[in-house]
Amino acid sequence: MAATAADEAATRDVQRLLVQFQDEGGQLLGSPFDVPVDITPDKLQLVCNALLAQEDPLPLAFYVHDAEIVSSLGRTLESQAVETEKVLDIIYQPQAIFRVRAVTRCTSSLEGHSEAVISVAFSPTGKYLASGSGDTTILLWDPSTGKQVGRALAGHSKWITALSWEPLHANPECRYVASSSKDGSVRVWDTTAGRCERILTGHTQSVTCLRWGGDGLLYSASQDRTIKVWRAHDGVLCRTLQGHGHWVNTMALSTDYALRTGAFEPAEASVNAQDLRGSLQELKEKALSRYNLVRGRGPERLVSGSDDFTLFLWSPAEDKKPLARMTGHQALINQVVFSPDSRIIASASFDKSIKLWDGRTGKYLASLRGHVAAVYQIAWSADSRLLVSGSSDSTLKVWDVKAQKLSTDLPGHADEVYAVDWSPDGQRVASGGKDKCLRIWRR
Amino acid sequence: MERVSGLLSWTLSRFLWLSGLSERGAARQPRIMEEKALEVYDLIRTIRDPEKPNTLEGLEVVTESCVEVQEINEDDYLVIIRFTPTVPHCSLATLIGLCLRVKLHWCLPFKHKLEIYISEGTHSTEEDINKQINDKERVAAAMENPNLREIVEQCVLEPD
Repeated sequence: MAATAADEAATRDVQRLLVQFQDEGGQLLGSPFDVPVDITPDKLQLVCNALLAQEDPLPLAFYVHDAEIVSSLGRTLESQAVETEKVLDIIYQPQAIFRVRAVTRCTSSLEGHSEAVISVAFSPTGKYLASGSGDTTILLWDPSTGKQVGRALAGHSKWITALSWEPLHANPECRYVASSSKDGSVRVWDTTAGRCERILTGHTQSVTCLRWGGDGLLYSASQDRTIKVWRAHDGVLCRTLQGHGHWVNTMALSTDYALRTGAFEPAEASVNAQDLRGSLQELKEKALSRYNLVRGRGPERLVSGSDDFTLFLWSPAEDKKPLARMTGHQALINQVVFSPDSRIIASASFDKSIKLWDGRTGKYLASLRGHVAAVYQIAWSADSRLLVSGSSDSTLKVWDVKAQKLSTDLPGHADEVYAVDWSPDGQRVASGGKDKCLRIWRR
Repeated sequence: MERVSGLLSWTLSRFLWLSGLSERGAARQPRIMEEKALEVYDLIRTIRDPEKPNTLEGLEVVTESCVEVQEINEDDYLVIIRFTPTVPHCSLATLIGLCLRVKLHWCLPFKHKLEIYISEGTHSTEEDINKQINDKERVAAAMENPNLREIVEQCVLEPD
């Protein structure tokens, strides 16, 4: 098959060019060799990886005169005048090595809350931003204009701890958002009408974490050591998951990444993703197919982390008994996250370590050590290969999950790093902390 | 008179009770330190020697008694480790010191200040090595060297 393709290329008399691979620093890789002008980035990647003699083939991006080679070398050169006699330099860039870009401008400041802003959540289409605050209200914003949308959603009696939008595949209009509060209740709000649709009471202490699942169930974790499973459309309590010995701080669903990204497919997107195109029905179907792909055949899995130093893996739609109890941490667990492909669970703890667990069985995989103080938050890259962590020791660290070791150290913050997130398209990492500075990191 | 004697006996019983309390408190402190020392020892005994395939415990480089923990503040402890290199001219003594420091820095859950010394009389250049192991700057510089870091990670990583 390769022979016939080569024959065809020869018979078609495709123009051939001499290329030389160069890394970003200008160092040459190998010697010049000739390639047909219609060579694709995949083939270039094969050749480059062979020259680099990498154990694990690195995904690479290729640039000619600062233009990225997307479809084929020929296309990229069409817009540029190329001399076929000279050797063409192709610069290869290994993906996912981070450098700080100086953040020079603040595009908008959204003022409106009268107390600290505790949680924020984009709607699944990205059209709205909801923010929950210490002043017990939720405000909705339009991210592109920076203006408030609708009225403030008031009703809780204490501060808002978490927000969760209804998944796109359940309702492509993205109308409902759920909020949890220190007052122990969960409220479901209708954002178009601007009122509270339903109040879910049952927890006896502060609700710390909230997740709107993809199967029509709402999960709430509380300081009363339980996790309650509610039916989203009528607010009926389905199940109470008990087992933790202390406050439940954090939860994650195996389908979290698919629910967060909805109909947006990062693999197909360019660096600046614009509005999603397509009718509501198309978006709904796309989101549903992406959701079903990650979900697999079984129901959604839920993992919860607590102050009792353990994690529990649950199948909340089926059973009120946990699938697995994951022990090993020596201090409280601040955050748990499923990898986007739902194969690995990562847990960040105050014992300075991050532990990796199997996403299906909860079996312990490895510990990532390197931080010298409590690890506050972690975030996965879109391809589930890298993990970024922010810690009390003021550094961020990027970990290679396959090799189970540190990939890059990112010092720079002047004080503790409280929050980190990796953008779903994998392009940027944002971090913020005690030094009142928000930093954006990229390649 | 009765009232005074009553007051006196009350004061006396109070005094006896308080002294009993402080005794109990004093008795409690050494136990906490022992537990912490055992915690520290548990972590360092599994560190592998850079040259030989055995652990530091197996080569008797560290022992339970060589770890001392003192309380500085509430929840802040001073940990002192005295290790014995296998031979008096061991060239990897600094590397072992580095491994000890890194392991505890990464794995010990409570807040601590660490001092590492070579047991007296067991090494030819012990004063120099002591100075080097306890110098924060030199430790940080050493960990920035990728080769050294690799070796330390190898020694410190627990087999899962």
